[in-house]
Amino acid sequence: MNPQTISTPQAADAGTASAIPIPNPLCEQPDFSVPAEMVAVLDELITHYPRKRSASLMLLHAVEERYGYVSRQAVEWIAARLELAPINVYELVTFYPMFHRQPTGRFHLRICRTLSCALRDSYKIHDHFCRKLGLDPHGHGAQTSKDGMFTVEFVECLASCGTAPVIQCNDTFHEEVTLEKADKILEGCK
Amino acid sequence: MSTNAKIETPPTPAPVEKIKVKVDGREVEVPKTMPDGVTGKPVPTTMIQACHAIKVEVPHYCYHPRLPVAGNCRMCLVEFGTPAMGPDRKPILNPDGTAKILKSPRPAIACATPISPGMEIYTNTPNVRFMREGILEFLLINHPLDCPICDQAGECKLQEYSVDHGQTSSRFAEIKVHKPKRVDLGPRIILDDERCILCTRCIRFTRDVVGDDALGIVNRGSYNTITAYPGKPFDNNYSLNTVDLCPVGALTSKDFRFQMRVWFLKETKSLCTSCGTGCNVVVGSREDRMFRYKPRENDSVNATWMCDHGRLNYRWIHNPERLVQVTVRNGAAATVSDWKSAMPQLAARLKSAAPGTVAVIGSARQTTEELFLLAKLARHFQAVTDSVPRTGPADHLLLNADRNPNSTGAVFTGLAATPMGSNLGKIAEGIRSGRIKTLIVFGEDVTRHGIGADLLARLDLLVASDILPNATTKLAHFVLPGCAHVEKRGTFVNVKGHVQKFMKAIEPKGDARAEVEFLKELLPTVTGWTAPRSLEGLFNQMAGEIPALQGVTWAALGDTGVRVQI
Amino acid sequence: MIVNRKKLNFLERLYVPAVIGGFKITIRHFFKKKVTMQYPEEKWVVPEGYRGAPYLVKDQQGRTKCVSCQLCEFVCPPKAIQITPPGPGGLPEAGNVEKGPREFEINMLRCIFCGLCQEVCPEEAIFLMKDYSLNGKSREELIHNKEKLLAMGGVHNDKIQKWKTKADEARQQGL
Repeated sequence: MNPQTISTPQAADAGTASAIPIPNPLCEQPDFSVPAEMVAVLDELITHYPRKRSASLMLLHAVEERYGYVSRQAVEWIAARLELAPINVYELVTFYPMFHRQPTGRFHLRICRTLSCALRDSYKIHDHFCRKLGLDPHGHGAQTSKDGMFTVEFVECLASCGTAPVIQCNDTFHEEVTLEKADKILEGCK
Repeated sequence: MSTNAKIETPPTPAPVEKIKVKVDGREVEVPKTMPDGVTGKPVPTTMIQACHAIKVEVPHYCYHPRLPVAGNCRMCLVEFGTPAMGPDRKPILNPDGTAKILKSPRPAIACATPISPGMEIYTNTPNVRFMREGILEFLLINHPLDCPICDQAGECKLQEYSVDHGQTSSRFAEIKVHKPKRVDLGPRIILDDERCILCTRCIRFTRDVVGDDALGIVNRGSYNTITAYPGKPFDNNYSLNTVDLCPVGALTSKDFRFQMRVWFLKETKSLCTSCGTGCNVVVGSREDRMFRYKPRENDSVNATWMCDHGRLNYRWIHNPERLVQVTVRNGAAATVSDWKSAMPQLAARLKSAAPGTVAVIGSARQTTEELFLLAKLARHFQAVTDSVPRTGPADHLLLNADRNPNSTGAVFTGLAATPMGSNLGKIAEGIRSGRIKTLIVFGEDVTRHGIGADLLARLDLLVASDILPNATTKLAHFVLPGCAHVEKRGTFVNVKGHVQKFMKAIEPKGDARAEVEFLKELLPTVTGWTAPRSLEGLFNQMAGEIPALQGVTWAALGDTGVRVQI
Repeated sequence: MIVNRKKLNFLERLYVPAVIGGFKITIRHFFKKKVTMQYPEEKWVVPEGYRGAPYLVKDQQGRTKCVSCQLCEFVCPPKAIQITPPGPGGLPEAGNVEKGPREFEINMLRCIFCGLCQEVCPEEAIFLMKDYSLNGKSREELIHNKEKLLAMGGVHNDKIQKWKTKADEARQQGL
């Protein structure tokens, strides 16, 4: 009766030229590879959980710690490892601010802006760092300096409210930071 | 419905314990458990199901009877109370002997709260109305309100509930969060993230019903957006169902995009003809132009879904090359004729054909009634008959490998050989040997199925009825323009033996006529048998003559059809 | 009910006084101010709020304001309006509005100047203007197409400019 059959579902008119592609905030990392010993550690980690999916955050943390950011390749690698669709991992990466989608600098300055620190001028310190490193003090999210050495970002409570303001440079904790102290921290990073 | 044993009734589920609850003061008895929409396993009955059982509408966005419950839109918040229990686990009674109800201090979402015996659900209290108003205000905070350019306008739940339960004006003075618009989500879908209310119906559908975990929500808070994984378009064969599911205009079909406003569309109950499943559809048409198919609920065939393959296979109906004229060919010259003069000529030619020299090929895309009439004609001539099998890859949900909508009907009427297509070779051989001199072809291009143009040229009489021109109609002595299924009424029997009827949505083009009509005109002169005048009568007569359809009547078919044994 | 005819007296039966009375009125009008307008040499000044022929307007940026939502087509009592939506491609020149009419026809032989199209329009794109003298030499000439409607409608000074605001806001938010 209907002499025309569509073997595979066709798009309608290709006239939707103004449509934009699916937004892609993920960075490419062509040289992404996970060393064998790390794979072994992660595979062991996965076994701690009743379902593989439950290990998603642990794997993301591991990747973030090693590469400083989570790339498209990393998302797909983790998804394959956990037998998930990449979208499931991608959702997590965009949800948690502690995962970065752009490469971060060698030194990662996390400035606390929760109540105690905010009251004791952590915004000024953030502003100070930004000006020194040529970044936008009002910029949103993590910002990396042009030379790729520093990443500055606000974070929520670093759990040392008694000694506010607090910043964390990579894994080192600095308490009661003043502008002078901040300069010293930057100098120490060279 | 007839009591004939051949009609299969769906297996009655084991009796389930019933619970009595009160909805807005009216008592209703509902089963304690109901089958889950996706898995079919019994799960506790929820308040929203109890409300629907007594026809009380509870507004909802994320809840869908065929999807897992998510409970994220909060639109179905209702107040409820449960019987107060004393320390002895016995209900406390009011002085008048009725059970004392303890009203819950907090509301509950009706879609995810199971009912309990004696529960009272209040869906229309001032508090409930206030909550609905609040929820709608939240949903509209970042909504772009671009109804004038939104394809969903007219069938949008956000519009409907805003009118029914929302506020008249917005209190939101701040700048709205803007999100990506016109995202090319897949080959058939455009996504507008600003309109999305994050009900996650589309995510749950594609993950839990189709099994293709393609969609997800990214970012946080006000910036939440639905998306597919970058570089991985949403392109499974069921993607367009998310457009139907979307309560707002976030997901829209590229095919139907900016084609026609939905309030102009006339909705006609019909069937999909692209495979043997026979999904129930609604045809949307305006002024004799068909615009879209939408699936129609039928639990025994397609639930509430249909595949993209079938949904988009309608453009041939409006093909400008459609056969719209009766054509009579004498030798090489083809002349345009009309029904009034062509039919007596054809009847006379057919009448002179000797029994045994005729072959009839009817398509399994014709309606059962048409095939029945063709079979009558064939029987008169003791003709060799057959249909053309048509197959394609099947999938795990609805798409069937049999791409003919009415193969079972062709078998029932006796027109198809067993197996279908096995007589085509015999017909070709018959023509070659000169035994078969007359060939009647309905809806097939036989040159593509082993009966080439050289063979057709040897025939004394070739009668072809079709919708679009093809190699067979080019050679035919009589070309009778037929109708697409949306232009006529009839029945199909699907691969499982579900007899279903479809209705006429638009008028046929030009001189084209429903095949049943002109076959009915031809039969009395050629065979001496007169068919009932109405299609209903014809169906009932056919059901009486075909053993498999015993006891089925047109009236019994209803909207959802009847299952018979095959 | 029967009404008895009044019997006329002699003077009344003469008719002369009545004729004279008539002449008196006629002569009085020779000295009164003329009320007849010498149309078409003299044109009628249309009052505010007059409902003349409906036309389409453009906004300050030159975009056709109509987005082809087809509400006027729906509401039009004599079914004088026929809009052809743009189809899947939308109207590229409409920018972030995405949509606009591919064709817009108003059959002025059907139009009853009720003004419902103007009232229902969510985009302030159609207005009943002051044209009252519509004529043509054929029926086709009185079916106004999009081009003609826009040419007659001109530019509407839109104070809100919601689509422009939307586009500006989105740009500010980095989209």
